[in-house]
Amino acid sequence: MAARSALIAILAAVVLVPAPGHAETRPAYGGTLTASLLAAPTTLDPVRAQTSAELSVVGLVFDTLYGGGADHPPRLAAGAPVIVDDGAGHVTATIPIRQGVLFHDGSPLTANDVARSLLRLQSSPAGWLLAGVTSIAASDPHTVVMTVTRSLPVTELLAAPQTAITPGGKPPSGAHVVGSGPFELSSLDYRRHRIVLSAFDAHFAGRPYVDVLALSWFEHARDEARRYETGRAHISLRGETAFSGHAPKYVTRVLESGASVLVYVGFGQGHRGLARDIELRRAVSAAIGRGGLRHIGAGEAVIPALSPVSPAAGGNIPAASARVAHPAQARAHLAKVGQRWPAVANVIAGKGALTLEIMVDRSRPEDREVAEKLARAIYRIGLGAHIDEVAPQTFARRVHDGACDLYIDHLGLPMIASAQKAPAYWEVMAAFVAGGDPFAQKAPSTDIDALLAAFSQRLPIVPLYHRSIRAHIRGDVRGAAFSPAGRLTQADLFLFGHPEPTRAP
Amino acid sequence: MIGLRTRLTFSFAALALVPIAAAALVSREVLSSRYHQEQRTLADNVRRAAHRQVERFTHRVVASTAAIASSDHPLVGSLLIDLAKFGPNLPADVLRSTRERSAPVMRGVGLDALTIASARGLIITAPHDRSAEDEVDARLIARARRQDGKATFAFIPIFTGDTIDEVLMCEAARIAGGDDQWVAVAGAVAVGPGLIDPVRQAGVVDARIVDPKGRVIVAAAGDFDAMAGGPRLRLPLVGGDGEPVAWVEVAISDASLSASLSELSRRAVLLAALALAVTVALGFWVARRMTRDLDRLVTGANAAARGDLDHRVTVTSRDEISAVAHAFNAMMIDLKASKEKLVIAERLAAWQEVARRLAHEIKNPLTPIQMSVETMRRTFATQHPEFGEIFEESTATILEETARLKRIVGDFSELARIPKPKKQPCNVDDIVAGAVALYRGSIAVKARLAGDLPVAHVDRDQIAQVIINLLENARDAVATSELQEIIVTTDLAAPDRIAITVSDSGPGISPDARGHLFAPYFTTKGGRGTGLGLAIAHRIASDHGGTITAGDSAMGGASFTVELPLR
Repeated sequence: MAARSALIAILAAVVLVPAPGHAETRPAYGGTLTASLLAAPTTLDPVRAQTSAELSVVGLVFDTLYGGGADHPPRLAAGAPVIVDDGAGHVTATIPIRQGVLFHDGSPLTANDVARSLLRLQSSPAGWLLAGVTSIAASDPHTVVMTVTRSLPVTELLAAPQTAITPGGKPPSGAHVVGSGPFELSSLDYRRHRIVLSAFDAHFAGRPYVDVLALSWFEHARDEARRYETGRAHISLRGETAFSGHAPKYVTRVLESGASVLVYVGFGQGHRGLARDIELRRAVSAAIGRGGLRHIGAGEAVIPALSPVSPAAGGNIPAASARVAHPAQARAHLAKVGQRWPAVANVIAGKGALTLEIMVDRSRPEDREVAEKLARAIYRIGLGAHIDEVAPQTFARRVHDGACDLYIDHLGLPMIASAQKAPAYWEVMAAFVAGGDPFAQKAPSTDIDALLAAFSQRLPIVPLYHRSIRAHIRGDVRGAAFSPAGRLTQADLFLFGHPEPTRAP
Repeated sequence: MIGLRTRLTFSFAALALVPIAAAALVSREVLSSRYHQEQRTLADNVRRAAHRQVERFTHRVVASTAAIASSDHPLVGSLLIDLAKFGPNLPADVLRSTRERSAPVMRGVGLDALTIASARGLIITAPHDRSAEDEVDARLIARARRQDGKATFAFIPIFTGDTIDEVLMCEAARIAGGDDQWVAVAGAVAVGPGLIDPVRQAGVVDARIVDPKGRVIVAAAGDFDAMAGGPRLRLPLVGGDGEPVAWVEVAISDASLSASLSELSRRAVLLAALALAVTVALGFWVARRMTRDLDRLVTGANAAARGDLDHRVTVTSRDEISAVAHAFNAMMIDLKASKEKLVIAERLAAWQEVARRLAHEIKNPLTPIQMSVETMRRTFATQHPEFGEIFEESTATILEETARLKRIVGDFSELARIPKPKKQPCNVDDIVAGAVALYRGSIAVKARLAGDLPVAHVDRDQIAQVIINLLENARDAVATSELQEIIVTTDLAAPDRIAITVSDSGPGISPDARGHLFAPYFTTKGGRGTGLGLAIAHRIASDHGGTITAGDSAMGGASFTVELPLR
């Protein structure tokens, strides 16, 4: 779990560039916009948010000091940080806090809220994100001073969604979720698979156009597609899954993000730690043919992945030979596992069977397909598999506890605007590889392949593919765009006119 | 001892048992042979049915696959066109459309699995298992070329529920399309109960499918192992390499046969038992008829033994037994006549003896009387000077002897006058105790009474007389003995008879005296006894229907036992 959270923070800590705006004329306020999430948000705590759905909701309810995009515009910060290097190895970053910002409960944002939120992040599993930060304090009600070991990409780090500010730095408690974002939480109903957000009138950047944003998730992709096809939703992320020919009731336009979501196999502590054996990970990685995953989902882009780093962020696209399964290689790795685990040795010797559980969050229907592919892959090397679809909260708890063998999980990846920004990415990654402090090693490697190799040693995951998000947007919805982080900018949406039927009545 | 009737009955039964058992066994064997023949016929029919069923099953797979694997089929035809248009990497919407359409096509022709792969082995669609789609399976191409549409059996890994299981399927694979553009199509149907259901016959024929290791793939409808005993058939389900990948095992129950034979045996046994029972009853009846006259003869003989010479044996038959009965009756008549003559003779002899004894008794006093009278006459004639003294002595002797004569005559009269017993309910112990009490203070008489004797209907005074007579004898017997002991005991000699025993420690009974003890005037006491005591006791006991016997006592003396009936 620590590594998982670390991965979140690593990948989220890169510089993002803002998407080009889609100017609409005469935006109108009001209305309820019905959209969907790729999965159930199992947490609304910024420091724990990981999946696209969690990051989407956290991004709507909370604000960070700086925004994503190339320029990292200040949001809760009043301006760019002032970096002072005294030449003696002490670097301070002074961040002015925007005045007049209110939380959803009416309390004003203070430097103390910011300092406490960042301190809580430091003490969380994702705390290494601020590993180079030695102290954080509010010097006055409107200023936060951080001491860092050397010049860090401060704005890039503080644009990560995990650095969102909460009142007093406290985590959300149950349904009591208070942030300063454009929407405030009205209700979160896991039973009905729905979260309802209301426009926050006092948002510092101005009230959102729509009054209510109703977000739903589905256990069956067809249910989401059917709802959109029949005109009962404004936006769908799986509009083409159910129906060949895709003929929704109303005129639709399709927007697609970059490959911003990493789908990977996670490994728990099941079978007394067997699942954590690095050779088992390698065996699984070699057994699965990633090329066979390319048609999973609702037609969005799927890029096979050998590393967690998206090609858009400088990662490599696997060669054709690397996309196919390598059963012989997988068996070789499995044989090494068998040297340590008698159960596996028995399987190899044909004297027994070993069935690994593949846990799936049932609110992410595509993951079931992934799990089936994975099951078939490990079946080829002699291991049995049993797919266990569980409720989102159960999934999160068991992943946290390590109470599973394998699981399919998602990671909302940031998008690097340009290759020139890639070094920052690798710097943060180097911090993780180095054990938390990016500067503990005098000369941290910036060699991508070496870092990826180190990654595979430390992170108990097997990347499968990067996928985009494909949004089907009804004609009367305007202002839609994807951020570089792959999230739909729902705060800017508004309804305009009436939807146009695809066929004349 | 087994009676004649029983022996006859058993003999008849034993004689009848042999043919009955033989008939039952022969019948059973004949019917068993017939049943076995029917069983063999059933096995042949089942074998043929199983073969036909497997052929029908594979034919269905071949036909269904062939129907799809044609460029004329909408699914494969359009797919071939798409491959021609777009090459092996089909656009996502084309793929999705193909996959969506392939599921109903698969189900429409009755297939459980359908796999269509491109020339490079890339699985384009596998509606039965989406996890196989987009995988590369070069072996499918090889199978399609090798099988050319023929069906073989194989274990195919398929997602079933949440796990991959190797499902035994009948698969037919073939190439569809032309030389320039083609795909491999493999259709399969899971081997399930449908393959063997038509072979099954409830309770008679069951079938299952097992793999070469004996693991059950398709379970039998019932308890397959319980059908052991009947014929077993094994039919191979052949794989692509010509080797069996599984076996259809058919068991034909012999339960019906066993049940029939059991029922047959049961009925045979029942019939045999019935026949035996009839035979026994018949034998019993015949034996009874045969022995009835014999029983009458036995009864007659017993009556004769008891002295009932008036008993006659009545027989209705006219056979040898009838002749014996007539002879018996004649014998009884003769016996009765002889007995009457004997009784008369005995009575005469007895009275002669009595007369002789009485005469002897009477004679004894007469002699002194005669001598006294003669002495008186002679002395009187000679005027003997001592006539007066002689007269006195002689008349005293005459008076004494006359008195003796009188007593003899009185005793005899008493013996003759013993009346018929006047029976009334009595406690014999009380009678004995009363008699013993008379001797208290004179001699030691021990009474060992039963105490719980049933009430007896006897003449109290007569029985008391018997006991007193016996005690008198005993007292006289022990008078000269060193040990003077007399014991009187009462007991039940039989459920309906009471025994009174008087034992003494006297000298006992001499062998010479034993035969005359109960005869009148027999005495071992010389002039002190009249010889009528035991005779009277014997007479009283006889009048009560009882007996009196003499024997030796444990004390070395004599022992007399009186047995009396309760009524």
